[in-house]
Amino acid sequence: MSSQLGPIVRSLRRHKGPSILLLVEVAVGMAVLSHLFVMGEMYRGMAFSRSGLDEQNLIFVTRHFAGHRAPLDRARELALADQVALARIDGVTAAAAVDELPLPEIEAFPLVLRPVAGGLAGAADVGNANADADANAATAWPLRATADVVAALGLRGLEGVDLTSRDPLPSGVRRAVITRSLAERMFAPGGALGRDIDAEVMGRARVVGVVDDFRIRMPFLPDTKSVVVLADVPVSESRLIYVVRTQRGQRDRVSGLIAGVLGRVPGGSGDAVDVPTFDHHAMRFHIVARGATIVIAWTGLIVLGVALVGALALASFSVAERTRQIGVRRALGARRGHIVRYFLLENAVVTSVGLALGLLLTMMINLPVRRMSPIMAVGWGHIVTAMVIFWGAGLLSALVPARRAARIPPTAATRSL
Amino acid sequence: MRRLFYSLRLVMRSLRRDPVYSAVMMVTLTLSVSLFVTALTAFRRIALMQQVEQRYPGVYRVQPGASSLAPFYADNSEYANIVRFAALFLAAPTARTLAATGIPPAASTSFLAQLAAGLPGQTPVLRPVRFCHADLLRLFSMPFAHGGPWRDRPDLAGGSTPSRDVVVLNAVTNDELFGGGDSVGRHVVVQGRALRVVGVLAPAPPATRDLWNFNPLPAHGLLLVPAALADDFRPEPVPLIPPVRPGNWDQLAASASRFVEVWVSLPDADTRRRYQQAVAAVDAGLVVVAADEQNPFFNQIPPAYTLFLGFTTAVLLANVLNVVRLLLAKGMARSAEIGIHRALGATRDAIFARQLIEGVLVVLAGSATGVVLAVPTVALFDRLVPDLPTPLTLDPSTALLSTLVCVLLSLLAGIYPAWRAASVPPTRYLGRI
Repeated sequence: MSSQLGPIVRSLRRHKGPSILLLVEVAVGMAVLSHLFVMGEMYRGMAFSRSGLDEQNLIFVTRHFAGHRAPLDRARELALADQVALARIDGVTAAAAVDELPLPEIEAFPLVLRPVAGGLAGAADVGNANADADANAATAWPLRATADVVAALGLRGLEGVDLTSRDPLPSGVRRAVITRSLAERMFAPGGALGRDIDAEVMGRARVVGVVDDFRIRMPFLPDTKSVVVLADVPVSESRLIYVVRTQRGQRDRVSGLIAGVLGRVPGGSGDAVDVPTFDHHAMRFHIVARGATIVIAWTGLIVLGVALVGALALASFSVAERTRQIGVRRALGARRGHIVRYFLLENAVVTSVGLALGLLLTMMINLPVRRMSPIMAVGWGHIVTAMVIFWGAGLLSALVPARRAARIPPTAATRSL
Repeated sequence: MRRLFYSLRLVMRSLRRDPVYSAVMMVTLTLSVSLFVTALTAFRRIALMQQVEQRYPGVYRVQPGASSLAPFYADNSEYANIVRFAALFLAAPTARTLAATGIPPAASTSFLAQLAAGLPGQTPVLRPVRFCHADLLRLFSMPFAHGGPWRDRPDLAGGSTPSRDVVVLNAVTNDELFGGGDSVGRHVVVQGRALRVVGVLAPAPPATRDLWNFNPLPAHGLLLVPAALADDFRPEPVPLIPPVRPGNWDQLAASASRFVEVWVSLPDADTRRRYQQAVAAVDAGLVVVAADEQNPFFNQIPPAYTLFLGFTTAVLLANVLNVVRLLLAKGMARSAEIGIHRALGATRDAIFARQLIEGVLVVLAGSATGVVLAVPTVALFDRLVPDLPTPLTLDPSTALLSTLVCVLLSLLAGIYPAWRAASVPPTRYLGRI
């Protein structure tokens, strides 16, 4: 093989133009394909992601105080009464009041949470504790809800998870359940239970449980799995929101009963009750993510197609330009296999150099791309996959002209035109 | 002209000689062009949507400076857009204090909420309602199709607000409720309370964004009501940053949660200086930013669209490189033929022109087919990725721009192979005949 490299390199140097063009094309194609892999991975993850909630059996209910405002204490009484009435419906597993609908899509802003020194363990070194708090601060999506929310949303408990506990807490501290992702960001493994967190304007909370990750709100934003659920009776003057979980297959039946049940709650007649149907597949972000995945896949196929045509072109050009030399080689005893191997090797050399350039180009392009969108970091997996695909595609497309070259008869050496 | 037709005939003959290569070139070029045109259409549409074209000299917004936002919030690049958005709003107590300075000749606080609204006797639906002062409509010179703004003054200490139970509709809401006619003097029931229509805004240009109304696009409905009605309606503002809900309007209006935009008129340097000093005295972390400086925030195009356009452009260029290489290959394969033509008297320019025409024709044919194919491709893209509030279609200006790009690319693609072919000396191959 090494004896063939010399003639190949000389040949490529003689026809610098086409070779350089193919190098550039391979490099650009590889850079584009690597980034397409990242984008495709991101959108595919979104398209096929699930919220982690028991969506098939969930109903979201909103009671609107349409023509009036309810005093908060009245709203609080009504919320508790509504929750009891909903939980008593035949076929309902659990019901809870929440301050925001966790699905389908809501624009909301996260909180910054910081671990507080001590908690159950008592006060620690304040200086170090403050530094630790900032280092372990995390952005989280807040949800205020009554204690039955863990059962109502169908969350899977990992540690603790007892929002209903009546153990006394210091004044102003509320119980909180956090997701696994949040616990990993803020605390050492297994160190979340019993710790206090500072939840900005939502006050201080004590972690009484860790649940498996679930997503809420706008999944296009990163880290929507970091959720903190604060035990509270979330009421407002204008509406009350509930989440109801039914037994399997009971959702439609129960949905039809809810407006009547809430209308019969003392003090609850006359309000508008909204029970929207929730179809996971109709959620906009799923549709967009699925569509984007298809568009990216199609773009990737075109990139590959262009690369195939490019390799085909160069190999064809080489064959056309060296018909006499091929004839001479055949006349001197070269077999067809030698000819095929020669052209495949030539293509491999050019493709390999192009891929090396492509690696540099990918890293250079990824710098501004990441500045534009931090989640678009190209990993080695993406780069290697793109390289392998390009290399294989290049070899495959060079095969056709190589086999055609192999069929050139030795008598071609004697022809002039 | 005769020579041109003759060249064209030779070119067509040349293309027919290698039908497979010609077809492959055309197909890949067509696909690349259609993808590029689709990306360009989507990019231009979203760029147009984000555009705030009007200029508002002398109009300023008071907002938190980056340093006054929670450090983690501000530094976390994952949430850069959230932080930039959050930095537009103030807490209500701060807004009230700023209003009490009395320095700007015109000023408005403004916030958005969703309230049940509709015609008397009909079931109301939740609609966007913007609470503001009449000065907001004047500051941004909002054009009216019917009527005009109500009359009130910002809530200075001891001031009064003559107009209360009034509403201004945007064109979309007026169309929905009153069929688009002159609804001035008629009534809309908002949260159980009848408000008299005093004005209807003129329709906004399609798919553009109003600086004073960041969230809904003009395709959405909107009602504007006096800020003084907030204490009566007790709304739940959107957005609310941080997302705490005390549940009670009084508590919310006294809390540190931010939801209010403050716009002021500062017509000259002296007023600006005095107001900036007053603002700094209220809160050293606040900044006074010219309205026209807000445009870069709204003019951001989502990275996905920019990247998609970049990638499809790269694919198109790569495809053009393919065409260059294939034309080079064809030219080299016909070197002897070209040498004979030269020997028989064809000039270098004639050879160059012929080869250039072949290259241009190939790229143009592929591009034309690609632009035509882009019409259904854009429609398919819109169906697959329904990310825009208005349907995406290939508009004439984008088609023209794409065609111009393709014409340029065709010239670039044809020049080098044509030059190489024309550079073949006639004597190189004569010895082989």
